[in-house]
Amino acid sequence: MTAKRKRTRPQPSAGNQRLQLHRQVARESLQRLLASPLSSGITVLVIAIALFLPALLYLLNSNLNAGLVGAADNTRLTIYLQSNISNTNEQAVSEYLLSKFGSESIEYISEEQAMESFSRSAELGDLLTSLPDNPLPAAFVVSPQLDDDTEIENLILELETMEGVELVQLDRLWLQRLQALSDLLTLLSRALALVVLVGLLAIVGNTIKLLIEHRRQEIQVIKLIGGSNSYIARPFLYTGLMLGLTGGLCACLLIGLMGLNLATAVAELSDLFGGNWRLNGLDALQYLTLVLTGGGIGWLAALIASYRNIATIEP
Amino acid sequence: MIKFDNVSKQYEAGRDALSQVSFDVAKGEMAFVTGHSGAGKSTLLKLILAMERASNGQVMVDGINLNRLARAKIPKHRLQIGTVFQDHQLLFDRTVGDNVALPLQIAGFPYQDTQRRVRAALDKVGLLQKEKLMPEKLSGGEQQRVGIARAVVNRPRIILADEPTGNLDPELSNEVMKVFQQFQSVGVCLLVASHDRELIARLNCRTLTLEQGKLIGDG
Repeated sequence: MTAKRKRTRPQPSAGNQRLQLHRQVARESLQRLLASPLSSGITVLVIAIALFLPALLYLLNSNLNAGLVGAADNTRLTIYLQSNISNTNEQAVSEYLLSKFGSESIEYISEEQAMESFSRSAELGDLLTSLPDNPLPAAFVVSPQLDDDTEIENLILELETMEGVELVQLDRLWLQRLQALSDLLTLLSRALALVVLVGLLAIVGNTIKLLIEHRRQEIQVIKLIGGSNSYIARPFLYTGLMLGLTGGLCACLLIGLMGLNLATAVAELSDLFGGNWRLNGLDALQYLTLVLTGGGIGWLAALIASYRNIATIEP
Repeated sequence: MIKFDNVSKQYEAGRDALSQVSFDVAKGEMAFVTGHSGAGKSTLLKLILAMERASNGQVMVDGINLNRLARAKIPKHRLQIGTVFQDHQLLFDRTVGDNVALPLQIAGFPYQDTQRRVRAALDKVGLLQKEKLMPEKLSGGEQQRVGIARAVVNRPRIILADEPTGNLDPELSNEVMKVFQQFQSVGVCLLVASHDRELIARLNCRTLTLEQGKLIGDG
């Protein structure tokens, strides 16, 4: 027996064999998909659009966040001083700020400077100069490099209790509003992703179910010969996977095309507003995630559809 | 190998499709099942393939009690049986060769082995040159022989055949029977349902005769 074995051709290893079988099944699935290009194409398109929408929302949100991070660096703390502040108190505030921040991030605006810049920027200049006293207070403007919100809060509390300080203002409210908006967008994109997931499972699942129904007779024959449910399901799983992957690829293409078209427009808009925002696209890993998400959803939908429909077909 | 012990099968209508049938076909034995249509031949084959379960009694195939066979194990059971169906049950969207290869693919044979065995099986039924054709291009008799090639390609321990010579002329019938006898000689157990009295008489095999669900003759 063993001697006989040795003379036959070398047998491929079990792993190789399995790979070969899978490749064959995959090729079969692909041929079947290409045999009905219209319905396959429509399914792919639906998957692509369904994946495109949450990806777009994610992209908008991440761009907004990138802008917010940039803006957070520009957080300004303005410490308005009382008009009758004594030199020693002013010195104390100045030293305290110097101990917390480098001298280069602290700016002192005297009452006169405030008056000057205000009258330059606003039409109220004449009105202000006609007043007997300068109503504008002197102020320190600090750009704190603090990421921690509580640290800033503590700083503000500290400063507010200091002698001669009128008001401490954190130039941040609009940032917080944008942050809240961004949080809302995150929530929305997650909800949308969930809806899309369920919707895609239903749509791809239905496509696979129709394919199974279409091959009912064939499935019956295979079952008569001894094909198990999982053997019969295998080509359908590949079909789902291929539809999903192709849909994911198309979604990437849509995102990429949109990026190309919008990039210049966004840059122009940003330049008009004197900003330097640029539209950030997805990176390679995110594109890959999008494709794999599509594939995963397609496969899962096929798995559910096969599980539910193949077992009920009996010869 | 195939053992029926007091087997009855009732469908909902209440009439017995099979009633109290007992027989035992051994390894290396070929037996014919004959009877008028509706006598219970199809039910008998369905029971052996676990397409139906007996209402009463026990069906044992290769030492396995089919009454207790779990659903998940039915495919493996069927894979051990080569079946020739009366209506061929071919897949019309693939070539003759791929049809014959199906049991091997299900069993997970490597590609080259599969090709070799498929050609050997097609050669046995005289259809080697039709390997690449689609089944619809073949005549009824040729389709039947494709079904026979598919049933034997896996070298099963049991072969069931439902009217395997129904569409064949006497010469081809003899060829098919020769193939069956070759398998019999290497220890395969064969159960052949047939109307062909002439063929049965000529082969002088054991014959189970069914009438209205009862086994009225065995010998």
